[in-house]
Amino acid sequence: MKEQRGIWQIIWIEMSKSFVWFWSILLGFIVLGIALSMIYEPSEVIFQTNAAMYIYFAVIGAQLFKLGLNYGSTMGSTRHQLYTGVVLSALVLAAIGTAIHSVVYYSFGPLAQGLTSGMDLIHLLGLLPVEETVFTVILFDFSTSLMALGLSFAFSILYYKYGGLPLMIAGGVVALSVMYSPIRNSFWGEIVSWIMTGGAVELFAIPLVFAALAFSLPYLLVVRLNIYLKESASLK
Amino acid sequence: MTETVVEIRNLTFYHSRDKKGLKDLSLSLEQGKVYGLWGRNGAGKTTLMKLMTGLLKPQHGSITLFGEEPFENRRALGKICFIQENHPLNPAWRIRDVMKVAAYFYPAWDPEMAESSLRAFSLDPGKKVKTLSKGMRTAVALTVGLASKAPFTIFDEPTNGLDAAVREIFYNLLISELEEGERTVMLSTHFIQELQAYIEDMVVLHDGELILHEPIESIRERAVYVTGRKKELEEVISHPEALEVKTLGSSASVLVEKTGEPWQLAQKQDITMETPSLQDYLLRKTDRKKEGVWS
Repeated sequence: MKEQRGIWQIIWIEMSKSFVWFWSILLGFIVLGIALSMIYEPSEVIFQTNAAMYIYFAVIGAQLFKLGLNYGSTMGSTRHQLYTGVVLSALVLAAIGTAIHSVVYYSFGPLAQGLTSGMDLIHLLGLLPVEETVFTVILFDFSTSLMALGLSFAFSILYYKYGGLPLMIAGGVVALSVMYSPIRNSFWGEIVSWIMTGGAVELFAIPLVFAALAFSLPYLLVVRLNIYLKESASLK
Repeated sequence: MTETVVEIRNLTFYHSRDKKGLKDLSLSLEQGKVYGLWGRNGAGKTTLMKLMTGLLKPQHGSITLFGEEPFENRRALGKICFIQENHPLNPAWRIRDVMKVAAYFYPAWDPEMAESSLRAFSLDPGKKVKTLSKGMRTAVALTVGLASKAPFTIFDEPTNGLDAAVREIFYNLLISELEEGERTVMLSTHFIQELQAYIEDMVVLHDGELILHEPIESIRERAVYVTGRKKELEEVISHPEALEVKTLGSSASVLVEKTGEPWQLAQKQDITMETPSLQDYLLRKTDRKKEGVWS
C-alpha cells in the first residue's frame, strides 16, 4: 500500500491546489450572487452548484491517469500499483468533493434565503423524482462525481493508448445519434425519460455501475502498457 | 562470488515500423560496478534502460534483475532507480514534495542523504520545481537517484545542463556513495571523456547491437593512431578495417585497432603512435570516417 499512498501524494499535491481554486471560484460566485441579490433585490435568482462540480470532476478525472503514470512509473511503481493508486485517489477525491459541496450547499443555501428575498441554491436532485434529503444529496453527488471521474479517466487512458482519433470518431457517432431524430427519440429519449421517472436505484446505482465499469475495464489495457515508448521522458 | 545484478539474454525490442530498437542483445552486469553506457543517437541506449526498468516489455528474449523479471514486478522494481534525462518532475511540486513522494517508492530511501545532497547542490527544499533552472532540476533528480539507495541505479545523461562546479559536486557525492561497493550504477552518456574516470566497464551499443562490453582500461588500449608517410601506409589507409584516416601533405594518420590486420601492417613501417581519446575511438568505431583533414 505504500506505493498507492505515494500515488495519492502525487495526485493530492496537484489536486489540493486545484480544489482550492475551484471552490474559491464557486464560493466567490455564490457570495457575489448573494451580494448582488441584496443590492438589486431581483424576484428570482437560482444557483445550481452541483452540476459545476460534476463538470469539474470530469476535467480532473482526465488528469489522474497522466499524473499517476508520469510520476509514479518513473519512480518504479508497477502498472497495477499506479492503477489502484489512481482509483483509490478518485474515490477519496469524490468523497472530499461531495463533503465540501454538502457544506457549501447546506450553509450557503439557507444563508442566501435568509439574506435575500429571491435567491436560492438548488440541487439537481430537486428536478428528479427522488426526495431531496441530506442523505440522497450526498449519495447523488458522490455517485455522479465518481462517474464523471471514472468516465474521463477511462477516456484519458484510451487517448494515451490510441490517440485522439478514435475518441473523436466515437464523439461524432454520439453527436450524430443525437441529431438523427429516430435514434434521438427512441434511444436518447428513452434514457432521459427513464432517468426522469426512475427511482433511487436508477439515480444512485446506475452512476456507480458506470463508474465501476469505467474504472475497471481499462485495467487490462494499463497492465500491458509500454510506458515512455516515445523517446521523450515527459509525457505529452 | 560477485552477484549478477542484471542478466539479459537475446533481448529484442523493436519500435513500430522503423525497426529501430535492440536486436538480440545479451549482457550481464555485476554488483558493485560502475558501468558506462555509450552509443550514438538511436543506438538503443534509452530503449535498453527502459527495458531494464520495466517501462517496456521485451518482445523476445529475457531480462532479469536480481533474478526476477522487472516488468510489472515490484520486487524487482523496488531495487532499481532510473533517473532519466529531463527526469519528469511536476512543475507544481516543491523540492521537498519530490523527496516526500520519492520516499514512498524507494524502500531503502535515505532522508539524510537527500538532505545532505540538496545542501551540497545548494537547493532550497521550499523552492518550486517550475522556478528551477534546467541544471537545478537535474540536480534534484540526481538527489533522488543518490538518496534512493537503490541497489541498481541508472543515470541517463546525469551531467546534462550542469555547470562544472555542480558536476564536480555530483561526482563527489557519487564517489562517496560508491565507496561502500554495494550499489551498481550505470551512467549513460554521450560525453564519455568526463565520466570515464568513474567508470569501470563500458557497454557500447551501435544500431541496436552490443558491440563492446569490456573494462574501460582495455577499451582505451584497443586502438592507436599510427602516423607515418602516406606512401608507406597505403595498405593501412586502404584497409577496410581502418577506423579513421587523416592526411596532411605526404603524411597520414590512421586510427587502427590493435586486434586487426591494419595494426599488423602498420607495425612494419616507420611510424609514430598516439593513443586516441576514448570519445574519439568510440565515435570512429561507430562511424568510420575514412577520409579527413588532419587537424
